[in-house]
This record gives sequence, C-alpha cells and structure tokens, in this order.
Amino acid sequence: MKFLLLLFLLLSGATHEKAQAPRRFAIAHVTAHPASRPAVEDATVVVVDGKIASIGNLHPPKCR
Amino acid sequence: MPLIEGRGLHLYPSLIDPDTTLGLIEISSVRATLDTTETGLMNPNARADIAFNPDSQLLPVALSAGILAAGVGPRGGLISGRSAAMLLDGWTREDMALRAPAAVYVSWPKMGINRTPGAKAAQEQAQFRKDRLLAIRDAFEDARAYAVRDAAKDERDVKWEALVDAVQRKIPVVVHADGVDEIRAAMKFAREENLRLILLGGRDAWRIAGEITCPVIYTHMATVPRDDEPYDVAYRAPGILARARVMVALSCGGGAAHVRNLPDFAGRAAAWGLPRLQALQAITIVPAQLLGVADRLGSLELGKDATFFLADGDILDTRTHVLRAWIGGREIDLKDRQKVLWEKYRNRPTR
Repeated sequence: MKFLLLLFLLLSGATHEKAQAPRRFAIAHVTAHPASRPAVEDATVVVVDGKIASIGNLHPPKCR
Repeated sequence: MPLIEGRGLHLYPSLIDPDTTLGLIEISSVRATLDTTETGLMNPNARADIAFNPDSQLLPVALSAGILAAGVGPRGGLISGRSAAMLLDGWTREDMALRAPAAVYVSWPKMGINRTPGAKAAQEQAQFRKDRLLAIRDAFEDARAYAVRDAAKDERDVKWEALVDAVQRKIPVVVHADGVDEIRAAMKFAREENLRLILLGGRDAWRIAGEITCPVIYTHMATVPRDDEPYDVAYRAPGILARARVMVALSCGGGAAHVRNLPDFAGRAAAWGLPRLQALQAITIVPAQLLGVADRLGSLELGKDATFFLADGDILDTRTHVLRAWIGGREIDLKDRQKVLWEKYRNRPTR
C-alpha cells in the first residue's frame, strides 16, 4: 500500500513537473533594454527558476 | 537549457501602467460590468484587488502590447479606496496580486468657482468645497488617532484601519488632481499631514513644474488642449516635468480598454522632449517604484522576476509587435479577442 502511495505521489509529481513550462532558459543575441541603463546589444539573458540569473554580453550557455 | 534565438529582436521588462481600471470595468456602457466605485464619499476600506476580474477580456489586449502588470485603482467619492499592483495573467486575483494594498486613492475637490450660467452661487460652491476638504482632513486625522488606540478596549473600524498604513507612510496616497490650484492644495495637505504623496492626472503640473515635490502619474497624453494652450502641450508636459527633476510615470488615464496605448504614449513623450531612456522608464521602472514592486519588476536586472517580452523593434515605435512574453519565467499566451477577430475576418471567404 505504501509502495502504491509512493508511486502515485512520484507519478503525480512528475506529471505536474511536465505540465509546468520550463523556467530555465536563455535568450541569446538579443538587444536587451534593461530600463535602468542604456540598451545592451547582443546580450544573453539567462532565466533560472523564474528569475533573471544573468544579463550581459556573455557566451550563450550550454544548451540543448 | 532551452535557448531562444534573439537575433534582431528586442527584450524589454514588463511595461506597467500605474493607474488603470483593468479588471474593474468590462464594458463601460453595461452597468453590471462596472465595479470601480463604492457608494458614499469615504471608502478607504474598498480594495481594488478584491473587485478585480481575472477573466476580463481586456487583460489579454494589454498583454499583447507588452503591459504585463498594472496598478488597478478605485474611483469615486473623496477617498475612493485602495489600489493594487496586479499581474495581468493568472488564474485568480490572489495569484495575480503583486502588492495589495499599494496606495490610498483620494479624489481632490475642484478648487475653482464655476461661473458659467446656471452654475450654483459662488458662496454655495465655496462652502461645498470647504466641507469636502474638511472631510478629507478629518478622515486622515481620525485614522492617525485610530492608529494609536488601545486595540484591546476600542472597537475596530475598518475604514480608519484602512488608512493607518497611509498615515504611517507605509503606502503612498495617490491624489487625483489636475489643475494648478488642486495640485498646490494637495501638496500642501500632504506636507501638513506628513503623507507620501503621488499626484495622479497632473494636467497642469507642467505650469508649476519647479514647485512639484512629489512623483506625478501623468494621464493626459491624449487630452485635447484648451483654447489658450499650445497644440502639443499634452505631449510636451512629461519632458517639461522631467527637466524640472520631477519623477514622471505615464498612464493611459484610468481606462481599461485603452491601456494598450501606453507604449505609444511614451513614444509621443519621447518625440516631444522626454529623453528616450526616461520615456521607457516612465512606463517601466518608475511605475514599479510607485507601486512598491521595483524589487521584482520594472527593469531587467539580476535577481528580478523574468517578467519581460520580446518585440520585433523599438517598443516606443507604434509599428512594433510584441512576439512573446513571460511572467516569472512562465511563457504566456498572447492571443486576445482582437487577434481572434482579426483572424476570423481576414479568413472570411469572398464571393
């Protein structure tokens, strides 16, 4: 019974995870307008867990 | 990690209209869809976030223009209620509330005397105005007294309780004032009551730009000038205010259906003297600061929410399209009623 419950929780968690949009992604070679300062040409913006993790003229991260 | 190719595209932080009635109005001519105004003059306890309709058809239209968040404020009476900072995409109003309450809304009485034929006697108008000003002052003084009451003994009063954050300067007081006399009176009142003032409207603020000591949410980009005013005064006003070092945010003027015009308004202000970066700031970081959400929105900075959009050009140019948008890193659907109708009639069979 415990095994079944654990399996259910794991599966439901996995389904939920699948339904979520990816919250880790990067936008590369974009002209970023931060608003707090002038525009940054050819910028890469990295998003992790829904937050901006980096912004600037970086090399694109390892991507699929 | 998925990679989005952004070559040739522009990434902007969410545009923010600091004063709208989005979610409170659906169709202005259908009374059952209006929830902006409570009855009576004193309603500080009214909360815009409670009345907010997350299924409004006007929200996706604003999203399509890159406006992913907005201030939603009540209307009517003297103290209209409390506003909220809302995201414009989500399932429930609780999901969508960024900050509530964000400010107390006050509608300042007209300070002038109407001398047109048929108007009430000047003395009667003056007395009416005096009574209203006294009522506003009494409300804030009662709230100040309420803040230091003995909570164990004294009865709870939701109206004065709602003003406590404002009198303790935790949230600002947004005063709707357009004329020179109203603006001066509101600033004097805020100084005397030690309130954090934000002027809303500010039609004539440019005339006394050097005297303005508080932020202005300018709502008159589309207002027709008076007979004695230059034709372009509405467009030049934000630039005049900015040169006088006034913190200026732009707003579409409390509407719900026209919020989509916000980037166009910033473009016009930029064309008439407001530096381009400041024009962008007037619809991004400045509204975020006024709404108290600048730690999460308003600019593309490390640690802030990934609430931004990709566009195919300069967002201050009316020809630019918003292509994709994200709120907190979640990509949102940019389909709206106008696009659906456009598709429908574009594909109409010809006979």
